[in-house]
Amino acid sequence: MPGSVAYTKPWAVLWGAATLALVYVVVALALKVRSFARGGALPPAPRPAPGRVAGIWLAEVLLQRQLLQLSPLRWAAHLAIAWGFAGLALLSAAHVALPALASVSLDGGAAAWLLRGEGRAIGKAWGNAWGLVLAAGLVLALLRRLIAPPEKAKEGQGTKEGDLPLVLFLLALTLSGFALEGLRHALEAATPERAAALRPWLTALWTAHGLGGVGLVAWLPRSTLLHALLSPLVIALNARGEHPRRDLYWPKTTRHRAGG
Amino acid sequence: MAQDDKAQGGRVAAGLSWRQLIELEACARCGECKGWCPVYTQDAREAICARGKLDGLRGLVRGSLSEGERSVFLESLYECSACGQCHVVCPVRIDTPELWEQARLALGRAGFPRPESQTRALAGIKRHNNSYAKPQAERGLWAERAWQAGLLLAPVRLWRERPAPVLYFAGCTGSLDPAMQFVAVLSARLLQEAGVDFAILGPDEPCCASKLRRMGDETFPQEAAQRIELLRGLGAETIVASCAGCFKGLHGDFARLPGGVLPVLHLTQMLDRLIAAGRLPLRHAVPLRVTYHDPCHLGRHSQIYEEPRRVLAAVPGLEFVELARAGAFSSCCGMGGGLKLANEGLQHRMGAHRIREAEATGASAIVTPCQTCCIGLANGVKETGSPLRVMHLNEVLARAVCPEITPEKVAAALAAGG
Repeated sequence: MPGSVAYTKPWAVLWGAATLALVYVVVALALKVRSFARGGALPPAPRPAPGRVAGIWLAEVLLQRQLLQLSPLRWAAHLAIAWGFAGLALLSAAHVALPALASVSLDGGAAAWLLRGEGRAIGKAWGNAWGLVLAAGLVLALLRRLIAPPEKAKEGQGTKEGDLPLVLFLLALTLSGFALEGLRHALEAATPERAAALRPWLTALWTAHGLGGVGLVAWLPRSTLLHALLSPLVIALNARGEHPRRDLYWPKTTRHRAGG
Repeated sequence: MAQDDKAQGGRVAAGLSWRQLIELEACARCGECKGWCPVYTQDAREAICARGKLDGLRGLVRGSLSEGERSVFLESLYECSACGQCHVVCPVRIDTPELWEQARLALGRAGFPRPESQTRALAGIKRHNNSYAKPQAERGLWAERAWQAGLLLAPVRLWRERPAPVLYFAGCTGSLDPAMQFVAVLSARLLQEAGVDFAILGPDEPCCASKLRRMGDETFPQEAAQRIELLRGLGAETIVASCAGCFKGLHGDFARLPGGVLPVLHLTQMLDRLIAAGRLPLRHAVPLRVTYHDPCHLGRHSQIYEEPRRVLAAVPGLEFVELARAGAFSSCCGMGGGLKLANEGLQHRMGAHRIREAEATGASAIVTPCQTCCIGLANGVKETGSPLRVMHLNEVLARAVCPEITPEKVAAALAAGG
């Protein structure tokens, strides 16, 4: 029976930390929004063309066309990280939202299907697939920095300090998720003695993975990761005024790549 | 003190738009802007590139900058030509030129000092209605003297004497800078050659006031409103500006103000249309190998890339070779945004860098339709001792249309007349 493998999960610790983190994030983001509201009105812009703005947003945010123009390797790493994050965030959101909806009978049975029923395998496959994509992106980013740094990084022009630790932390978080899955499978097939030895490890890893994820969420408003929320917004806002500019959204960057 | 900083930061924030405040936080700090920034290329300080300036402005708005950080930020904000290269390459598409200009305005309103040289220049523009501290009465002299010297086909008439469908807006530099008056004279001659019915404002022509916007002067909206009222009141079908800076002001900056959408063309757009219509006969071959420098105000800021290239392509005998960095990626010569006033040496190095890029094409001349770029590139030639010739697009066209008129002859004739 899926989900029957039991090990201790300190839910109270995790939910306590998650609640604190979420309250902190909500307050921090609300303060940010309040600080944005100090600004004045936007200057008049050309009449927005919704189709064109949507096209720009799709190309620049979902497909990250500008990064592809700047560096295919950087694009592959960033796209994999962004999509991996989005895929896993969606799964996490479903795990939080569906039980909440189920408690007021608004989930249409989806919570039971995804969390305990036949959908559980699909959820696992979804999580593993996006976890792999995220890990691939992080490994690419790491290789790019450690083995084949871009020219500008060699010249001290690269991404600002704090970036490498962040990549390492995210990679550790991703790999701990896979390790957790591996140990869970090992537990299913283990003898009672072996299982007893594995359970504390699973509990420790589950706690570290969970708290790591919570920490990442709490760090969001204070770190450059905030760009994951604000960049798509800025791209949409600026595209409203700049949608007629072909030199900005479809430039021939590779032809004019700067030497340094 | 910290409370004062926060209050001052609040005043700066109030001077920006809410979208710009989001942009400050949305920067991914990736550093892509550094690799492309023509100022950073010459002066590798983090504070000077877009990421550094965004960092500084973010800190200022939060009220968290130390005294030292604040002075570094203020210096770097004004040592930027606002060329817009960082805007083109930014993966987040932050509208940086608009941000720098608005930040300069917001800082001025919040009581922060700007470089003394810029303050003097702004006061001069407002006092004299031009950047050259010359009397307005001199504005139309170039036309009178050029006619008297036989450089024109007909006298250039003043708008107040008899309006015309086309208003030629010569701008401060074309009207008053002895080294660049040939641009106005050749513009008039080329329009005459094509049979365009035009007039000039002469002594009634105001400074376009765009430099006030570039350097963040808070009187810009009022000054611009006066110009808009004047120009709208003329009822011209088309306003033609030969200066890239004036064009950006009249076409771009004014359009963001009430009633400011005017029928403005840059001269290269007008010439391109005249050539396409067969109205400007290019009779003489110009056997030169040239490259083309896109002015920031015409290219990145106004998206006029193709028209000047089509004009050059129409010149018989001319061999054209593209620069490695061209179009939206053209390196700035350093003349824009008040940078030359703030740090002249830096502008010279930027001009020199662009000249070296042009030399690499094997061209014998670098052509641009912007007189300010002509000055900036000429500084680069002096800096490098390059044999490369800096030519205004009008000069190239004049060689094909009326080769008897050269910039040197125009300069000599106007000097003799004065």
